[in-house]
Amino acid sequence: MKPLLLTALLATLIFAQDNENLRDELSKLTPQLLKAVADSTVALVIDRLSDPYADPEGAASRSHRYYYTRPKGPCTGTVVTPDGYIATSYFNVCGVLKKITVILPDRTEVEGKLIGYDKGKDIALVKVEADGLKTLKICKTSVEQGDIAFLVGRAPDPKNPTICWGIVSATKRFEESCIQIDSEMNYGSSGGAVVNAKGEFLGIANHILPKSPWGQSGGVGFALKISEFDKMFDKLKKGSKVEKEAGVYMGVLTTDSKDPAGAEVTEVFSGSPAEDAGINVGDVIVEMGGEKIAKAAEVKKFIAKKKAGDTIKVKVKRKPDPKKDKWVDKEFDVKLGTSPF
Amino acid sequence: MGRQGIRRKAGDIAILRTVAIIVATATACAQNDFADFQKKLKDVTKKVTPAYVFFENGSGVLISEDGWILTNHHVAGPAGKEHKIHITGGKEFDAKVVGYDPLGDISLVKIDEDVKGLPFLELGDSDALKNGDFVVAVGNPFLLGSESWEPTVTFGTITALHRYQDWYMDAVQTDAQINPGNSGGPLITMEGKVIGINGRIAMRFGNRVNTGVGYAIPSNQIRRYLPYFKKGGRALHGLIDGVTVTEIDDPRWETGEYGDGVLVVSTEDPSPAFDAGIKVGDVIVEVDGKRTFNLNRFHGVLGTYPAGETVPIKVKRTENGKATMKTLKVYLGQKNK
Repeated sequence: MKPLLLTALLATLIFAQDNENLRDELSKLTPQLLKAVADSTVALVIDRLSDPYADPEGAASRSHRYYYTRPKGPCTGTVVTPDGYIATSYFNVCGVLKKITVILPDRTEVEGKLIGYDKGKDIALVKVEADGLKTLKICKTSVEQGDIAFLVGRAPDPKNPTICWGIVSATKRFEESCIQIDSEMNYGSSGGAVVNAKGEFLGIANHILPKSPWGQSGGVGFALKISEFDKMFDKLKKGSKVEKEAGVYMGVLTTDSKDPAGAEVTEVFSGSPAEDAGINVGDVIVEMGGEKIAKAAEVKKFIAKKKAGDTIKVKVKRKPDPKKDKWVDKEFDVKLGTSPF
Repeated sequence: MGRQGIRRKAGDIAILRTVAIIVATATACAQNDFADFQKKLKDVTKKVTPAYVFFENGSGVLISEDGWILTNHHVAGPAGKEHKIHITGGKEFDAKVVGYDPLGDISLVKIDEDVKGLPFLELGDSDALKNGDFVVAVGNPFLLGSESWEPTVTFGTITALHRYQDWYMDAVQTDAQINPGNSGGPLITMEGKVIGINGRIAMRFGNRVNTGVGYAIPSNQIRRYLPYFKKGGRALHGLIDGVTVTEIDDPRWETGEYGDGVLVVSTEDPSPAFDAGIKVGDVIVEVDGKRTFNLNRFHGVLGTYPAGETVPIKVKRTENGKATMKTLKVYLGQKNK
C-alpha cells in the first residue's frame, strides 16, 4: 500500500509541470546552441555613402518613422567557409559602400570585400582574409512545419550572440527558396543563422526590410534555405550581382463591392504606397488612373500594367461616419513601389 | 530479530526500490521533455493544417467532413455571399455563407457541392483553458501562402481569457503571432481542438503587424450559435430584455462570498426579465454559472449567447434585511410586447 501511495504522490509532483519543464529544457539547450553558433556568427560594420532605404517615402511625416529606419550599428553575417566567405542579406550591404569591417568571433577586426549578391533573393557574399574559421554543421534532414528553430543575431559579446526561438511556420516561401519562422526577426537578425535544436544550419535570415509589410518582430520572418544558398554559392563567388526588377506594388487587398460599385479595401499593408497616400480600410476604389473600377480583380489588372515609380490617381468613396449612410468622394495620388514579396 | 523484524525490513527495501524506480523514470522523462514537446508540436501541426481553408483575403477552418467552415464575418460577409476557397494543397471549392453574426464576427460557410471525407477539426472547450496553455494558430498572414497553398503555423500561449475588447465580448488572448491574413483561422490546443477563431490584434502606431496581443472568439460561444447559423441568416445576440442594471461595489467580493454583481435599478412590465421574476434591487451575480461581477463581464457573458436561449441566472435578493440567493430562468431575447 505504502509504495503505491508514494508512487502516486511523486508521479503527481513530477509530471504536473509540463510547461515549466519545457522552459527548463530550453535553458539547458541554450549553452550548447551558443557554443555551436557563436564561432560562426560575425558582426559587420558597414560604412556607406548612400542608402536606398535612408528615407522611407512618407515615413518622415508619421510618428512611427523609426519603425522603418535602418538602425545604426553593426549587422549580422554567418561564416560559411573556414577561409572567410561570409553570407549575409543583401539589405545589410546595399547602397554605395565605402568600407566593410568584419568583427570575427575572437574580436579581431578585418576588412571585408563584397563579392556578389542577389537582390531578389536578399542574399550577399562577403570575403575576409582568414584561416580556420568555424562553420556550422549543415542539417541534412528535411525541415518541416512545426520544427523548433532558433534565430541567431550578433551581440556585443561575440561569445553570447542573441538567440530567439520559434517554430518553422512554412517551408515553401519566396518560390520555395525560403522557410518561414515565427521567432521575432529584426533588422539586426538579417544575415544571421537559423538553426535547429541540434545547432544544425537550416538557413540564413532574410527578407526583413523597411518596406516589408510584416515589419519587425511581427512573428513572420524568413530564411534562405541552406540548400538554396549552396546552389548559388559558386555564382556568388564568381562575382554575380543580380538586381532583379521586383514586381510593382500598391499594397491593398480588396473584395467586390456592389453598392457603391467598386473594390472595397479590406487591408492596407504596413509601409505600403497605399498607406503612404492615405487610403484606408473600408474605402471603395471606384477609379484608378482614369479607368473605372467595378470589381476587385480590376485593381490587380490595372496595377500589373504599371511600373514601380509610376504615380496614379486613385478615386475612392469613403464613409466618414460609419453610422451615416453618406459616402464622400476622395482622391489620392499613389506612387507605386516595388513589391517586398 | 524475529519474523516481524524481517518483514519490516523487507517492506522498507520495497519502498526504497520503488523510490529509486520513480527517480530514475523521472530523470529519464525530464531528459526527453524537449523531444516530447517537439513531437507533440509536429503531430498537432500535421493534424490541423489539412483542415485549413484559404479564403480570398483571410482564413477559415473545416469543422465537418461534408464542408461546414468557420471564419470571421469580416472575412466572409453575410448570408448568401459566394466565395472561391482552397484547402491546404490547393483543391478549390465554391462555397456560400449560410449564417452569420456581425457583432460576434463569425460566419458559417458551406461548400456548395456534395463532398464527404474532408479533413476537419472539432471544437474544444474554451472555458477549460488556462493562462499559459500552449496553442497553435494556422492562418495566411500577408497572404504568403496563397501560391503554394501552404498555410502559416505559429506557436504561442494563452495570455488572457474573457477579454472584452472593442466588440469582441469574451475574447481569448494569445501571443501566438497573428497578422492580417490570419483572420478567420483557428486557434488550436495541443490536442488539435479548435478553442478560438482568430480575428483581431492590438496594433502599435497603427502598424498592421502583430505586437504580441491577438484576440480570438471562443469556441464555446461559437458552439452556442451554431444551430442558429445552420438555420441561415443573421443570428441575433442574447440580452436580458426589460431590465436596467448598474455596477455596485462590495468588499465581500474579495473574500469569495457572493457580493459584486450588477444591480437591477428598474424593470419593465411585461418583459422577459419581468416574466423571469427579476425584481428591482436584485444583484445579478451569475449568468449560466459564470460570475458577472461587473457590467463589462455581465455584457461579456451575455454576448456569448444567441437570442432564443433560456438560461439560469443567480440573483442576490435582500428582503427584510436578509439576503438570499435565488435562481431564476430568463429567456434571452426580445419578445414581442
